[in-house]
Amino acid sequence: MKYKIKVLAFLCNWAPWSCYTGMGDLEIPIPGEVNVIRVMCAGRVNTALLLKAFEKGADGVLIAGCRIDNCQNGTGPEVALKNIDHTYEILNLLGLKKERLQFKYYLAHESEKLSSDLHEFVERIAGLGKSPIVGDQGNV
Amino acid sequence: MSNSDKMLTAIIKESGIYQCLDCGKCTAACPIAETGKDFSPRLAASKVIEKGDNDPYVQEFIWACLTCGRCDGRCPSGVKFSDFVRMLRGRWIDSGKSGIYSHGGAMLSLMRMMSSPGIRQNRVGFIPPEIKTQSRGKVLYFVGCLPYFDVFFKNLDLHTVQIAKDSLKILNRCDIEPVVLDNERCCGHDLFWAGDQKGFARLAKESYEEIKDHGVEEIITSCPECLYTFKEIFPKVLQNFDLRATHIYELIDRRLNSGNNSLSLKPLPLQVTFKDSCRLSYYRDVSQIFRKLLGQIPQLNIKETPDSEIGNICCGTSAWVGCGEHSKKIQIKRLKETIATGSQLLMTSCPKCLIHLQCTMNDFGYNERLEIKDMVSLFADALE
Repeated sequence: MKYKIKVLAFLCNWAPWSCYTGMGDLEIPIPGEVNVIRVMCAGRVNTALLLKAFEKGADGVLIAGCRIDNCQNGTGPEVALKNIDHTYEILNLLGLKKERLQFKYYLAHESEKLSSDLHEFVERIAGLGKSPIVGDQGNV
Repeated sequence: MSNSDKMLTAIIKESGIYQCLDCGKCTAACPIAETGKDFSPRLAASKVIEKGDNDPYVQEFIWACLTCGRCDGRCPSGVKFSDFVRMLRGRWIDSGKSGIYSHGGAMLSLMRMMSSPGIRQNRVGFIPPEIKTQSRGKVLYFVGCLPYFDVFFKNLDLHTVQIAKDSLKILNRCDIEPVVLDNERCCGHDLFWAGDQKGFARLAKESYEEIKDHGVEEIITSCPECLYTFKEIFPKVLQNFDLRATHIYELIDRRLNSGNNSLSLKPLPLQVTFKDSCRLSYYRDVSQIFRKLLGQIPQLNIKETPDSEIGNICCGTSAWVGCGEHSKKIQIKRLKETIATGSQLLMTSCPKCLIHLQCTMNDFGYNERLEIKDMVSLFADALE
């Protein structure tokens, strides 16, 4: 059986989540490989959460935040980018490709953009294949 | 009796809790109780016997304990209290609950990831070109988590990887060209003490195979936790474990005793203070060598804190479990003690002590700054 990749998307509660519900309103399909987690701010997703996602067997992780000048909390996207850079260095030591982790930002009406980004990301991760990490080995 | 009750009884028996005399030496020895927390190992022990491990006091207790082993050392009836806590953590995790970890559990995530057979790390990028290493051989230098620490604790401006560089420099001076693995897997010390027995068993198996694949017979390490894990835990988990583990201090000591002058030392006019580490204190002979070696550096003035060797072994947190108010209090105490001796340098033997004390030093409200350094690095500085 062909391996079905697993992609995790962290969506910020504000603009990206509104894009996501917008996808439903516009009846735009969501790729079946994507699992969505709603967070209160993209900046909340720290290095530990990103590592945990890979540990649990995610083949790719996308963080969707608001545009830098549009953050409800002020510094969310900046913090998210900082956390992602930090995580890249650790992924490099672990031998995981940095393409498996990406940040994208949205305005509240950009449902089509979110949809095309998700499809593009899933395609890219499918090209990279399964992560070398055996996920879900046990308890946390 | 249900299965879960039977398991709990087995844990109580294995750790010798029934032998507890209720004397309270454990509390007197405990670094957490010393900082004023309501924290009593004997009370937790009797509560587990009486009510099981669902009691709120016990639940808080097992994640606040540092498993430093000071109570184990003092107990007149030989209760293995830190093992008791470790096994209760295992039960907690097996019941599907998440443990209480510091740094969001990131370090434990890293260890679990390293237990995947397919992973190919690139972690030897730090080795300078002048250091000679081999890809196969009988002697392995086990680097441990150091490259990950430097990246993860970037905000502390740490260079723990310097310990590995200095160790390799010393090994090269002793005419040893060690194997250093690009895909070295963690020793799993913290996974073991955080209670994830299955995760540890998986990691230990992969780690052992990786090492064996390179023809290694002896592991040399500069980390007390790696030493402890390879000496005490691996043989229990892996039946076929046949590797010898040596601390780099022992190796240096042997080299100096054999009259070989490849390690001639130059004077270092400094005053230094020791901070012992919990895992090295299991090997009293090794921690004695630590003092002996530094004693051989000319002009180095060693000034011990009043509670050295036994009292100062705790750096406030271990196994990436629970770092809080009381951990900070312990760390501040260590720093204050050292500053009071008038030393310019605090010598640690474990990279975790270095990280935790540096973290507190960075937000310590004192004007005096103390340099914190690993003993291996100081020894490498003294090499001519």
